[in-house]
Amino acid sequence: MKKIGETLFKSIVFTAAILVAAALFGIIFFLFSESLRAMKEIGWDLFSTEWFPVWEKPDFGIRTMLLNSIILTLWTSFVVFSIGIIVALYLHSYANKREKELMLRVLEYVSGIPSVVLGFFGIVIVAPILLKAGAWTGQNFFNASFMLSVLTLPFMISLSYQSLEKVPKEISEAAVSIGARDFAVMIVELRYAMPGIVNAMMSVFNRIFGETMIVLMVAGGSNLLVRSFFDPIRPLTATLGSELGEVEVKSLHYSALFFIGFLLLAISLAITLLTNYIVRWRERWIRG
Amino acid sequence: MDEVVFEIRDLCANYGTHRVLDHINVKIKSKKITAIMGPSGCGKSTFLRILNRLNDLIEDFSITGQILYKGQDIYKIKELNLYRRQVTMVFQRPNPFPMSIFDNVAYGLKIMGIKDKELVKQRVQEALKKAALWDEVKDKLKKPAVQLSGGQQQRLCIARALAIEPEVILLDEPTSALDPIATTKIERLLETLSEQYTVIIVTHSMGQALRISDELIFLYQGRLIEYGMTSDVVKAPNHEMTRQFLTGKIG
Repeated sequence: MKKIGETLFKSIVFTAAILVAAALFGIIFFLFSESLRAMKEIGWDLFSTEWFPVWEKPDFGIRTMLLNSIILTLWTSFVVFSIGIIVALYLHSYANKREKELMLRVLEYVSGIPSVVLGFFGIVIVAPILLKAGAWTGQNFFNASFMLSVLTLPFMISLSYQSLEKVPKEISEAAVSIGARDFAVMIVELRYAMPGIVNAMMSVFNRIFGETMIVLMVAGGSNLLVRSFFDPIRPLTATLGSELGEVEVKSLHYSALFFIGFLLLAISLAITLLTNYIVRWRERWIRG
Repeated sequence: MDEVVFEIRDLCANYGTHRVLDHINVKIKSKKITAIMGPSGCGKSTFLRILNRLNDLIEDFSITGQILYKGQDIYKIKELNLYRRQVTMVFQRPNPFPMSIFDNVAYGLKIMGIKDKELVKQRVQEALKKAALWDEVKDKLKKPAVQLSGGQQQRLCIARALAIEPEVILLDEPTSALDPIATTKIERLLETLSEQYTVIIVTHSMGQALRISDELIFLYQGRLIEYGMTSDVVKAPNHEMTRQFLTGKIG
């Protein structure tokens, strides 16, 4: 009887694992095959600057959107990584019990806010403030970056904090016991926590890169390469989000949108693979 | 007359309301190996950690009494990290930093603000030689420290402590996680080191204390039971408890 149960359980788990792997490959294959037409008919012009998909002579160039996506993601990630790690270090090294509890509780709540609500907040609260401050439009790069930071900071802080808390006491004590000041102790702890923090960075990067609702609502939607913090922009995901519902199925425009999806997934997967490689490499320095 | 490094006066220590050290009075001599012995929970690790002021990190820990390091009360020291560089510590389980072998030893020099690369190299090499590890690692200084064997890692931790040129080295059961061969190496090393440094070692093993120590402190349930030259204590223990420990009846 026990044996049957075990076999049954094993096969369920095995099937689930297969299904997940199959789903990933299915998605990649589907995106790829749907975007084949655009790749064949448009070719390298997919990477030109203009995107006018429904004009008489349509343009399907995604370069500006891709660059805007990358710049927005890199900048926001930089901000979120820096603030996230600093706050995590503060919580880990200096905060007392009550501060820790309060902070982690608040983060938990903030991380539960749906991105559409954050987008709404960006439009209703942040945009007017930016306008008052002199920006020529309230929905812009800065607004998007700010709301994306609010979206992802809770993850960055709590994941980094958890990695720091997992540093064995003996490692920190070893540094203290030979006379290291706080900063030097933190360097050691950060090195030990690095795999976890790099993983957190990856999740945050992918989340920002793939986030659609917020950028659709507050980034401004203009397909111009960003030149200042207060320029309106349109990242790749915003285009995908706004046009996919309207497009004629199986048209060239449809295929070009799938190409965007395929590209987003490919970049995201590449980042994940790279992160895994870095994490494995760092772990050899920690666990031998 | 031997120089006294630590003079401990009426030391009591508590975790919350739980008393772990009870009115300890003892002197520790310079350039000797002093072994602190006693069964588990007798307060010997706490005693050692107090000397490095490491228990400052524990929230509800408190002490009364005085600990004089060369006449200075260590609980009145403000530049704590400078003090810890003189009275440094090696732990029970090897705990190398997640860095290369070289960087582990160089860490102490970096926190001291030594920037001259040649000097760092030279001091790292000296420390590794003193810790009897140089010959084993000189070709793989850039490799991760965690890839060394347990005994090598522990000697690396000793080298890390030696690089900052301390006066006192505190060791908390440094061989309890190691095999007999690695243990022997470390014991030999400590004997050599005691020519230049004051060595204070907490140990669980009677044999180890007898093999290497010059002075013996025996703690039981937080109280100082016996204290003196190892050879004297072994020949004629003053206290019944010590006799039982020596003959293996307790411990």
